[in-house]
Amino acid sequence: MKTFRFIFFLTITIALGVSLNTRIAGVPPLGKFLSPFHGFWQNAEEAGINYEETLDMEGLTAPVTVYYDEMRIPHIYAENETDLHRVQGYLTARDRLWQMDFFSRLVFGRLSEVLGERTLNFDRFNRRIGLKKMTEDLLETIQSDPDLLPVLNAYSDGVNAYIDQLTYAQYPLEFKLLNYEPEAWSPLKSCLAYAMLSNTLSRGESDLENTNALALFGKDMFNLLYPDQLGNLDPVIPKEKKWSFDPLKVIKPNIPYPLTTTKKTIEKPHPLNGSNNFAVSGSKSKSGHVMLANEPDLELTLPSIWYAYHLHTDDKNVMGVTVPGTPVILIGFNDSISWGVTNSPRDQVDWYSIQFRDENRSEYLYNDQWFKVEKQIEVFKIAGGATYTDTIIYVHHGPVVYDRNFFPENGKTNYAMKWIAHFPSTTINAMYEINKAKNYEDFTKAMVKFQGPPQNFMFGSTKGDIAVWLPGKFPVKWREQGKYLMDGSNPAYEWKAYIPFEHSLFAKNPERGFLSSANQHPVDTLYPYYTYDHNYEYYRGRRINDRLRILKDMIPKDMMKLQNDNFNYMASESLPMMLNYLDTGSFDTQAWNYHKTLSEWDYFNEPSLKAPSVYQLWWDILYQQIWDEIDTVSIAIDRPNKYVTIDLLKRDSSLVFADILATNARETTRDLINLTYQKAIDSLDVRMSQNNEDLSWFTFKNTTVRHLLRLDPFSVDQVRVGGYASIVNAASKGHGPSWRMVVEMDPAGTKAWGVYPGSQTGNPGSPLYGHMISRWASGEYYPLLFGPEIKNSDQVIFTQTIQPQ
Amino acid sequence: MKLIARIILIILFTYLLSFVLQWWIIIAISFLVGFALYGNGFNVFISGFLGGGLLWLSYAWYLDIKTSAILSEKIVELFPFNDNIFLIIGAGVVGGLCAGLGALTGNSFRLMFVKRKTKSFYS
Repeated sequence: MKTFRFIFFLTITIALGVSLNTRIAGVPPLGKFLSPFHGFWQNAEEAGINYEETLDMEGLTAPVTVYYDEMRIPHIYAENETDLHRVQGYLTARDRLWQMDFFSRLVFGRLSEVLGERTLNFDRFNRRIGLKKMTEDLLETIQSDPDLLPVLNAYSDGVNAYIDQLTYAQYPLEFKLLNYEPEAWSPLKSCLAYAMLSNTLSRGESDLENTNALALFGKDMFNLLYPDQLGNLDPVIPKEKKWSFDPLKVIKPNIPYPLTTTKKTIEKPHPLNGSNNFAVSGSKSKSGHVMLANEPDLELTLPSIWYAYHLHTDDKNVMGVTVPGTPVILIGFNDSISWGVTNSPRDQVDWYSIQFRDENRSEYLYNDQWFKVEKQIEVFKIAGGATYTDTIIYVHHGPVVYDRNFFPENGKTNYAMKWIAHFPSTTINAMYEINKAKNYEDFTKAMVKFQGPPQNFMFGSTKGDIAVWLPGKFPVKWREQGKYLMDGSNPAYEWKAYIPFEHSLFAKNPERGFLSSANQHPVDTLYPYYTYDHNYEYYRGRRINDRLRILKDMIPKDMMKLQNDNFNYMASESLPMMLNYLDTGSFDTQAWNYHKTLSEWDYFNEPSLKAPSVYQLWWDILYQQIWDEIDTVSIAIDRPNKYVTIDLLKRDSSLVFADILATNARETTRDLINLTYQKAIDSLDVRMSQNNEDLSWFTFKNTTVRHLLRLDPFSVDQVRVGGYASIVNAASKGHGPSWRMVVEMDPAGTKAWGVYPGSQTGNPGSPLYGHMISRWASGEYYPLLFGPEIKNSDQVIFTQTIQPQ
Repeated sequence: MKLIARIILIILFTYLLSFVLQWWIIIAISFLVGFALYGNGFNVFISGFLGGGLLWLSYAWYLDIKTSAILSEKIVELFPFNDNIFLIIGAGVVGGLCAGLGALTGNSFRLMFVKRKTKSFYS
């Protein structure tokens, strides 16, 4: 009886202990998690400065001093580069360890190990498109760089020094929520930024959608709906630029595209990933100094995609932002130069249809012969213990992403992906050299090594130079090569050569005194090489250039004002036309009220205005209705972009697409615009009366900075910010300026300002979590503490000394 | 008296050792205390529950006040409660159950070796 009683209690106690130590049905292990000595309580921070005054660190050769400013940017002053990056790794891990782990799991296709079955297909996808492989290849390339390799190693050691001293109580909150442990960092993981950024920036394409549209509409209609270039453009390279070289020639072979249609295509990078940058030369600025501004518009997340640093040794003094896990600064400035990047849309992905010999898929057809494939078996561990195996087949074009196991289409389609990002790359080496560049010559030398993702590199120097460079690896293509699916068995479809670096797009010190880029067309049609992308920006770039043409005697404040400019170019080009079509004769009071709101609007998307909400809702409905034909098609097709749509509406009042399929009548453009206006009004009334919304623009669009795990309590919504997609201040619902930077290249000392929608700390339990969001929203900046001497600056709020152990 | 002694011992040792050992040390300590100061099962459970529960509850509460509830207000949204006080109570209940059952198990282990005293003639 006594033994039985003991065993009974023992069993209950052990069962309780085990279940409180286990994550069940998504609930964190309650014992661990609620224990005030170990659980989430330990992640809550008090207000004030919580850094340690001194730290000991193994492997340092000399003491390192870290100064913190109000933004909590670490200014690391070290005697040599390895000490510098060791400390950088340690501090990044302190503030962002979970995010680093998350990024590395994303790139290596290992999220399912901690998130379970629901991310398995995402992991498979990321490995199939080659994120893991390109990261491994990148490290391979860096192995032979005697300067960069020690930097990666030191950084990784620093991260591990931080991880090694952690107890469970100190784990970042997300590890506790998901119940897993941080694992060791490595130089390989420090290469993740390349795959991440390539995946976000250079993977966009519509080849299969284009093929579908071509098959469905025919060539004439296709060109009408998806034109390569429309007039009224203001490309990145000023139109005056002349090209004097002899281009490499390619001849378009006389072959048809395979018109194989595809029902469902893979997920593409978000079309709202974009950016602005601009530089003005001394002739435009009051001080006579060059000024430069940049802001990458990316998904708004917490922890933020960027972490800001000031890195200082005797031969390096650079400040700016980088992706956590990456030692080199990606956007920033030093004492001689500044640089900023925006994405340069330039089709980097081509698809080839592959024909296998038989079910074994061990041979494929090329040039009338059978060639052996390479098979790579990828194993996925899934939280809970299961594993999944996927075989990826490689042909000489690249990985066969679409096959009978992934996006199967009657089991017959096999599409291989050829992506420039798959090639060996020295992009990180280039960034490392830019960090140390002293002048335009150093900068252009680094440009040779930059292989993508294609960026518009804006450059400004204390010597008075401004320039824009569009470096990268670009195949020489015949007209429309790779715009559609190509036949992988025919060598005629292959890329034959690459554009030599000497023929790259660039412009330096133009007479107009400024340069800018905003994801628009890189260059006009006079550039002797074929350039193409499916997704150019049509508005932000024109607004920036309109302003810069007018502005003179500029001060940094003018640069900031332009970065936060809320002018809705698209509305200015579409709303008058839309209002013109309205039959005001049949208006009731309500319709008149909205009409008044809209016609009195000056096209600025200010946060408190009502008009932008009315316009946007009306436009969204109109856009959806005009292309309702496309929704009914069972194959994947893109809707024509809004610029083309507006152009079509203006030009053609009897546009065939104006017909609303859901009605029996045959609507004209006029009918469509009147009907959608009424729909918009009804919808706005519902929002006001039922949901109690006041229709002010910022509540209507609801800009939200979301936690990476999409947990609402760790996200910030209803951010009071103006702007929108295609507006210079590109803050839409989930995307926007992820780092705003303005730099004045004063030869007496670089002056800079910056802000981003987040915080250096990634801990939701810190009072500082997301603390810069409100300043970001209102268009204010922090002065960036840079030097020459910062030791005694009153901007330093804390000084930390890190000693060799 | 034993009840209070158990409570004090559980609070003291759990408090000191929790900073260096895993969370379930509260169960192990309660087991040992239940083993050392054995007695009536119900009393032992209550002393464990009160000792572990009070410690976890009050320390969680203390941390929450010190950090102005910065995190508990967010975490509570992930649970089906609407007030962060439930997290503090939750910590207390979990700590209490762990210590209570631990002590009870320790007690029952000890009782396996204790010969039931024959009722003393004088008592």
